[in-house]
Amino acid sequence: MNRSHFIKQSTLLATGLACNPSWLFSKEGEDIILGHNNKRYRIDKKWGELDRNRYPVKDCHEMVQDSKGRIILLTNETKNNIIIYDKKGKLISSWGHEYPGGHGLSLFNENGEDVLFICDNNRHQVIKTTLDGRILLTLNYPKETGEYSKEEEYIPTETTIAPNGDIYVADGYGKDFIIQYNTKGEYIRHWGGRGTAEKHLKNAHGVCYDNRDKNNPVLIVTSREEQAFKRYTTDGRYLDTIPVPGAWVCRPVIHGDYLYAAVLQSNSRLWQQSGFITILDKNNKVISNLAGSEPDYKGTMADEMYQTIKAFQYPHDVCIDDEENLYVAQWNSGQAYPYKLKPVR
Amino acid sequence: MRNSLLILLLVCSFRPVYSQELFQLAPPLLKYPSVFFENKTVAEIKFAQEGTTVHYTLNGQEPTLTDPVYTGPVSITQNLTILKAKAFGAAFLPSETAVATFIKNGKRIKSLKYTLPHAAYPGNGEQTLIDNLGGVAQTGSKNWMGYQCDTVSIIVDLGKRKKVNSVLLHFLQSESAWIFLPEIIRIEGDNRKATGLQLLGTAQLKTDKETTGTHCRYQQIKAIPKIKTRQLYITLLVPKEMPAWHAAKGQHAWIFIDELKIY
Repeated sequence: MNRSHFIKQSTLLATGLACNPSWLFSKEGEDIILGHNNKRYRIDKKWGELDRNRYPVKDCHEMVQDSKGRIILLTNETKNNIIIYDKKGKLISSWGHEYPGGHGLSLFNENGEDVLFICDNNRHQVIKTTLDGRILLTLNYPKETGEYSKEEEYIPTETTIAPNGDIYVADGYGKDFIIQYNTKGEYIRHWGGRGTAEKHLKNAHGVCYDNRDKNNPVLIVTSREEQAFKRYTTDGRYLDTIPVPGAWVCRPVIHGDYLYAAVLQSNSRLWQQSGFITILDKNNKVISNLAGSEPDYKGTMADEMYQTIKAFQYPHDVCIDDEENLYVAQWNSGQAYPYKLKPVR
Repeated sequence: MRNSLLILLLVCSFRPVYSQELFQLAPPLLKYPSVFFENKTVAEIKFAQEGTTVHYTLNGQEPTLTDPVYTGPVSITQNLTILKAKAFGAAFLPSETAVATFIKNGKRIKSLKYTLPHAAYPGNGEQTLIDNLGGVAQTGSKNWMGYQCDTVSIIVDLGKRKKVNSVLLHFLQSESAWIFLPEIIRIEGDNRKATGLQLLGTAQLKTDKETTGTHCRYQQIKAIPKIKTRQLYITLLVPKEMPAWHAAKGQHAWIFIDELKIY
């Protein structure tokens, strides 16, 4: 090899190094950071990618972390409704072929044992299972409420489980009622529904048990088409509304002092893949929008929020792990596997 | 040789720095009371994203980095002013362009008679077509009157005979949601000299190619001849069959209208 040839080779090598995005990525602070204030993240869109032929997904609806630290995804792909990852995105296992409308996924630790609650839109049922898919309880359409004449009217989207085992189901694509059952699945009461009063709901897409105030736990319910969360006592008395103008919020997720929610889309750009992620502090004030507008308040009212960066299409749920990483599952987004976002410290 | 190596390195390190991929910015938000205005209106552009600037034009041209940076509300006085805004940022691909066309008031309209819209899209009361409200490119906006019948008739009463130069109609187009522009628009007046109605103008709108997204579209039809008339008779033909390229081809289309102006 003569000298000129050698230099040509090393030039190419150097060029390759200098232009390689992953090399630049490692340079702290130079890449795109999503979010605001103390909730800022770097995104890894490849985290959840799997062999599509063997482990396909359709809509990735919701995600939870179990007590062993594993990340569990629910998709409406019946080849594998449940996909279980480790935090690095490695596949651990998959199961489930009988949830064609798999939509809501909640985890509850029942006397030391993790159990799952799956809401199935197509089956009009809520199904409680073990972590490996054994069915423990099935809740059919809530005839007892007197609000439903057939199962098709009931399209449950979400559950949350109170520490005493009470099950709350949000009928977010049906009649927008919240239905409360005891741990055995016996009907207790229901509330919400559609209407014009503040206590009513419009697309009650999510529900969560908010125990941030330990002495005063409440339920937070999504009213997505109203771009709001609504707070109720655990027996269904309406308390107040948390407006999130412009944001079609999915379920609220409580982690630490914060409320996290995937925003399916911006109200200003409906059905144009205009989603982002929003984070509210313990006073339910928006402090960060990931790929969305910087939060701004005039008095107590948030200014209209909207997508600013096309990092997501239609985010549908966010899961926060024990190391404060976020995982984002998306609906109708080209069968995208979940993304992981790591906090910027 | 050493120099060329250095240059190559420099060129590479000055390229924009990407995370794992280059993200595109979303289009800025245009905020205004209505696209319809009396004498003057004000538009705001919102885009609260660090590391970006919004450039805009009012002449219909595509905004570039050399166009003005948005810093505060833009005043609009001219009929058919087109506001275009685009977000730019060194670390991002520029956004798509956000567009709004502003439409100034025309002659005073005394009263209107029109085909009743579909019950699902009734508009915003009897004055919907002349209330200066609307221009929101969303099917859910209450200002739209929706029709799925074959023919829509609108009779405009100007109160007295006035010379008519043109007629402007404001429509929604959202073909994936079955909302098309009318196939044919016909404008007639009651010229005293002629017997019966006199044709002032027509437009034939083609749907042979798909238009994606949801947009406001105006159609301005020039009156030839320009006659004096008190009444104007507007006829809109709704496409009876959606075209072959549409997912629901052969089905009856809709039209949505929210405003009309007589100049």
